[in-house]
Amino acid sequence: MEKKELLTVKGLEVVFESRFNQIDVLKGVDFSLKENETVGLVGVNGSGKSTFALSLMGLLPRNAKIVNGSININGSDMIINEFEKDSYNRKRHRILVNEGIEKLRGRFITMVTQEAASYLDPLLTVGYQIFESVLFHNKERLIKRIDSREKVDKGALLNYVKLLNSKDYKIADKFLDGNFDEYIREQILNITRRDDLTDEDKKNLILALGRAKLSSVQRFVLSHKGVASRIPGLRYILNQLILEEGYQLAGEILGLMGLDPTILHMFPNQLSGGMLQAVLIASAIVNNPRIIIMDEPASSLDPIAQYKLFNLLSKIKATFNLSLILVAHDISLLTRFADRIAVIEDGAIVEVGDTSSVINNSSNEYTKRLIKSVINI
Amino acid sequence: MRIAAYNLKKTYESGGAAFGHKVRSINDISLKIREGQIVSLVGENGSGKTTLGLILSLLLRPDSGQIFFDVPDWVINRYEIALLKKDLDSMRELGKDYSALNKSKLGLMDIRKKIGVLFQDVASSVDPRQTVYDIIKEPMVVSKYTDEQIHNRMNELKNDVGIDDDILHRYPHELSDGQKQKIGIARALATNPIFLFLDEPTSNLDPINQRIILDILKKINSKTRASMLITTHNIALANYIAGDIMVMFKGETEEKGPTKEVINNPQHPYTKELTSVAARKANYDILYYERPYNSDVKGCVYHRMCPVSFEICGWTIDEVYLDLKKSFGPLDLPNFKLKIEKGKILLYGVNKDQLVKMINLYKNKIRSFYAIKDIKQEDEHLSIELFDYKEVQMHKVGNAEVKCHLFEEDVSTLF
Amino acid sequence: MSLSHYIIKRLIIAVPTLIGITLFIFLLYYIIGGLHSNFLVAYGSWLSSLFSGKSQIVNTNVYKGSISSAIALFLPNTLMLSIFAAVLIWFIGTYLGVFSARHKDSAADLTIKAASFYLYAAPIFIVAIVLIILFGVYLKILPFSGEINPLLMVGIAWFSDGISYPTHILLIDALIHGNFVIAWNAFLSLILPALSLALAFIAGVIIMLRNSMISVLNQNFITGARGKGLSERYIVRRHALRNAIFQPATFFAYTISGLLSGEVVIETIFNYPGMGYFLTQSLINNQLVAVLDSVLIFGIIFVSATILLDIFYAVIDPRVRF
Repeated sequence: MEKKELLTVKGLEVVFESRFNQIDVLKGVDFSLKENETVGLVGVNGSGKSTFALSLMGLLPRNAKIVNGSININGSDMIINEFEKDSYNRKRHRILVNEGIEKLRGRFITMVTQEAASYLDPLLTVGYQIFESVLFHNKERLIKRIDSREKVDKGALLNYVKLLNSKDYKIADKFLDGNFDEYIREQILNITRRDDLTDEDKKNLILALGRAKLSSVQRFVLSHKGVASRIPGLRYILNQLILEEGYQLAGEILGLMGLDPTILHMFPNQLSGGMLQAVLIASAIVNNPRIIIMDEPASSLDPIAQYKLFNLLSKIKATFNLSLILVAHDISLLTRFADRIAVIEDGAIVEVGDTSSVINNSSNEYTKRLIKSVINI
Repeated sequence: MRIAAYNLKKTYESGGAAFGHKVRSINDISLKIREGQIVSLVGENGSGKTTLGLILSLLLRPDSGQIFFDVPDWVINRYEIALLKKDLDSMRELGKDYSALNKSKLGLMDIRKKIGVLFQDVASSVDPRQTVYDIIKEPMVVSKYTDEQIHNRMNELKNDVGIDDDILHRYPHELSDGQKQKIGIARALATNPIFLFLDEPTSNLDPINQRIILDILKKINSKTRASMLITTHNIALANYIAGDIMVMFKGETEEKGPTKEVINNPQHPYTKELTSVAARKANYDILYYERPYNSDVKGCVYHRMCPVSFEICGWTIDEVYLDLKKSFGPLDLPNFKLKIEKGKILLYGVNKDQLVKMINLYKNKIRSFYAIKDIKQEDEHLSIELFDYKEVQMHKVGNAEVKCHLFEEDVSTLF
Repeated sequence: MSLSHYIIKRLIIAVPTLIGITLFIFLLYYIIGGLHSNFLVAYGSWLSSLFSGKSQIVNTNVYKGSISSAIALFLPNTLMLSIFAAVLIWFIGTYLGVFSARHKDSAADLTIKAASFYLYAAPIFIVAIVLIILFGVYLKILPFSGEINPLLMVGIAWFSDGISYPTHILLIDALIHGNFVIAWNAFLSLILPALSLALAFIAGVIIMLRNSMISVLNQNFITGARGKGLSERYIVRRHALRNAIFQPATFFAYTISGLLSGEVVIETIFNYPGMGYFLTQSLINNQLVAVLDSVLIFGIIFVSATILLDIFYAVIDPRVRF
């Protein structure tokens, strides 16, 4: 079955303008990404990889301009060829469609950058910053999750756990699909997929889903959202509920990644680089995107943290059906991980193909040099 | 002996003046580097390797400890004998005459000429308003080189480091990463130092440039016999360039010795982790990230992340308490309560079988459970008693030294 | 160290500061005013009078009575004026500062910048007089004195001898007693003094906030937030403003002394019955004790402002605490 193409880039040209001259950073890049595939983009520093990643997200700095080419994400063209007004009411030629990209950004396509520490707001907890992604794109989901827990059938949960006990997983899955709505299903799956808990713990947590803990005020606020959002006191209660649910969801994601949810209430300066990187990844996956761009996610980490990171990536790739674009300067990192590799030199793609053929059978001098230079034990 | 350092300690105040707590950056580190030797400090961010390097380059004063720079071997021998015999008077006297920490301002300037430093982020360690030529020239000017000497030295550097003429009149922000590192090296070498400290010289570079820089360093080392101290978090890099290696973790030396021996036959669990990750075949699953506790670590600093830690490694009652809380907490058991009283942990709402089952199930992941010595069932609760931990020593293993409880004499075979 | 610990520490440090301020004034009086008794004894007796509860009598041309009742009368008015000014500074300052930063280099931005520089540099009494002429004389919309038309106050029970009860602040007392006409007039007569006082600081806040915002908006975490698809408005409010507020807040806390001295000038120009007015009257009439007490009050206000700033920092910025 032909895999759908999610992202197509043709002839992308980007220039950086400084006061005296103009530098061509991307000189006509072609690139494609299909469903469920991981493509690595490798090149030396300065070859244009990060610029490419930022272009896809519409996050180029102000002194950068797209001067030619097209970017098509999920069927929509992201670059328009006319004068348009941006959010500052100034005319710009060829900008990314702002509303289009803003709907997709953070939901369909997300990005994880290097150096997590400087990409997080130092004044807010990391849990809040994960929650923000959901708040903006899908607040409803949080409300529905709380709702579904209030209304879930305790008997059904008990039966499901009994089926798990009997180890009859096929029937258990069918039962899951037939008896629970998608929100409970998601919460149950987020528990069963964790591998840092025993089966006993998982069953207890599943049963705990049915133990409603909302007060009557909270229940009122939840079922009369329209009214509640207009009265200040009630609105506060509603927002608190949503916030807590956001932390809960973020905790589930962290649990899936094998991390301790208590870090959610900490601030960026209290956590190590590896954990902050994990937080960035969590905020990238929380909205179930289809594409994640990783811009050298491991280069600021020591090898052990790098190793943990890549383990994590394999795990979420499998769990979430993602397509990944991995930008790196170390080609050996991509060997285990990428289906295809694109090699970029000086703003242009010089080679692209399946990982094994690029690594083992490349005829390109630059690629061969990249492969040979990696220092191994 | 080029550099000999003994029992260096340094602590920082972190968290601002009002709320600060002390962070032990370096805890009791000793190190010796001969002429022509390349030593690599390997460790993650926060292990203290940068601080140690800065102290050895005499850019940072240690809180305590001794440093000798470029002194005859007999001074070192005498000092070490005095150290073993705890002869404080001799130590003080030798320090008075030879210590690098005691020098007058002129003496210090003299020493500084012989030390070159390459910082991790070259871009922020150079004056952005100076041209490359001026940047490299500056140390020579400070050391009062004549114009002819400057001219000759510049030519030498251009050849050794591989700098093209047209770069000399550019500004730092116009250069590529690889070129910036070369400038940094040239500046560090300007006054022909006999000791170089390079702080993660290639961490920001792609593999091609990495190899170029490391090869330059190797060439310089063989040409000038300068000693080098290179910090890195990549043990493969240490393997490529260094003759000797010192593995650091949170301010302590965990293992040190000849590179080949340490990498081919690692003894310390942390070293094993580093080498298997670098060889891309980890032998065990590194399952969790370290939980950020706020208290001081007791015993061996690595014990919380060590996959083979056991009861004497440093588990305290607080750590076991937190782990029990984390294990039983999410289960939402009725009557569950956890307390610490009179040096024992009291556990309510759980019977002995449940606890033993939990311990056996999780023991391999939650190593703090190894510290549980005894569980007594009292009327309403379980009373848990722990083993005492021991402080950790350095042990000699072959040509290397390892700081690990596994090498204590009376450790029973637990594995 | 916990938050309460920190606050107590700061409060303890505040005491020597206050002693220093009052000692200095005392010294000035001693040298210039030619007091004859023993310096330390005199200072000591003043200090003890603070604690004894007996208040000294002050005798100026316009007011005769105990100091403590004087303070009870004048301080609330000063606080009212300062708070009003602070509200203006906060809202106008932050709004224009953010606006200026987001529309960098536009015509509006340049105008705001220019106006801010002028207003910051101009002496406060000139600004006050210009405003009086503009709004009070030409446009005739605002009353230009701190006093209300006395005819309005005839026969009102809670207003006797020119003093309103219970809070002594006309605006609030009028609201308490439900007399909205008087309240409205009181409000109007507060606008010009508060505005004259606030303008220079609004300008300062705008300048600082603008610079701070511009540099914050260039930081990586703003790009990260945009990468999550958050709207620009939300980013400015939730991320940028919070991070950018430290500079203007520090500026504000440390220029509180300017605000207080500006008060004195403004109260004189507008004939406003506040602490500044009391202080000048006491000075003119050589009432040392009243002067010292007033200075002490001002000192307390200033020191509280800096303590509040430190607490603000500690609460908002986790990097201070952890």
